[in-house]
Amino acid sequence: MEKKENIQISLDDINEDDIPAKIPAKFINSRIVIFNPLYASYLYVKEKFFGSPLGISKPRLEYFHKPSELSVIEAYYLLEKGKITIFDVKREKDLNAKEFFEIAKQIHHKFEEKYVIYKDLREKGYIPRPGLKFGADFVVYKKGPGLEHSPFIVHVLPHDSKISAIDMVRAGRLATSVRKKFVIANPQTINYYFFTWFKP
Amino acid sequence: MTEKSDEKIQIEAAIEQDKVIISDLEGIEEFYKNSYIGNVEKTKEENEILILAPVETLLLCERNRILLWKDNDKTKKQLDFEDLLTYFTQFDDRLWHKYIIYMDLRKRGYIVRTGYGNGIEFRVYNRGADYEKDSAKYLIFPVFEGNPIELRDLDKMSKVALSSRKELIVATVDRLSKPIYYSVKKFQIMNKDVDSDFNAR
Repeated sequence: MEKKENIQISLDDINEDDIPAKIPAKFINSRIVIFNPLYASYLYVKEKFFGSPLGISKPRLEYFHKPSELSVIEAYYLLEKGKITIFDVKREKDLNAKEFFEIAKQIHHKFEEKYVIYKDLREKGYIPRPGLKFGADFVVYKKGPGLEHSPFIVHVLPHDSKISAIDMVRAGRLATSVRKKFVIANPQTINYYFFTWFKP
Repeated sequence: MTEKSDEKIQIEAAIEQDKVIISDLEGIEEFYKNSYIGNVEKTKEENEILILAPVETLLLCERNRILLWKDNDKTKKQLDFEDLLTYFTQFDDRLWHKYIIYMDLRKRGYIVRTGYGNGIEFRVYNRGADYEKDSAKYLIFPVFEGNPIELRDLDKMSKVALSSRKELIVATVDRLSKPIYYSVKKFQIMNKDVDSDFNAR
């Protein structure tokens, strides 16, 4: 195993037949983990950046010898798409989409709203990744993390929320300081807004 | 700038509820024709009069261009800025903030018009615009600290801006009474194909 870690394996060499139609994931400690490194790498590299490999902050686009963790939102998206199964370690059974949705709502604050926007972006071909480090819900790539410098930041407002003066100033400030477009998403109407500082 | 504030002609006016009325034709010439302040209306006797909104009145008062008296009685106290602000506040408890925005934009040389409906407080013409020929470029929607706006208001507002082909600007006023402006654009997120982007509409 030690030796293997130094060998770079191109994912082009991977036989698609080695990847099951539904990749098995485990629901453990309220986290969703894909333990098989091949499947984990496949989901990240070939399926457009799903999951985060354990302990690798900037994964390269190649095979990694690590398990990866899916966010609750990613996991639900892939489960709905029939690309993964989620085995609940405690209940010792696979969770169906409905069961997982109920769990997701409990473990992820404002899950439904965030999921609506995540799904919309994914369906449109964008790659939304966790945006915590930018102080928002998602950082959205067109090509993928590490491949571009101008992703967008998307913050999802709860559907019953209001926008305050502070929200707007913050959006404008943040966009300026991280030099990225800051988009506020309304999950009810799936509308996206963009605030830029305006100097009259 | 079309305004000639150095000439300092002072015009007499009268308060009527939440409006100020100028019957002097010179006032119409000075304020309306030169600076596009107020609205010209006709009385029953077919005389032209100029109707000023509170923010317009405050601006003219600050510039010493308007003369108003308590109870519209010249023998009584002449009203200053403080008196007017205090009086008009009874009709609009956000007058102060609105005035700060109005004044700021006017001072920057823009033509600012009041009233557009739907919560849009002002419409603003580009600098150097001819108000008779051109139409306004921006819609100003003030957002006040402590009074957040509903998401559906934002949807509504951006629809109005889009259909009238104007740019939506939200204006907020910080605690030091300094206005900050943000341009709001709705993003039509296209299906990502060749090189599409978040497209501003």
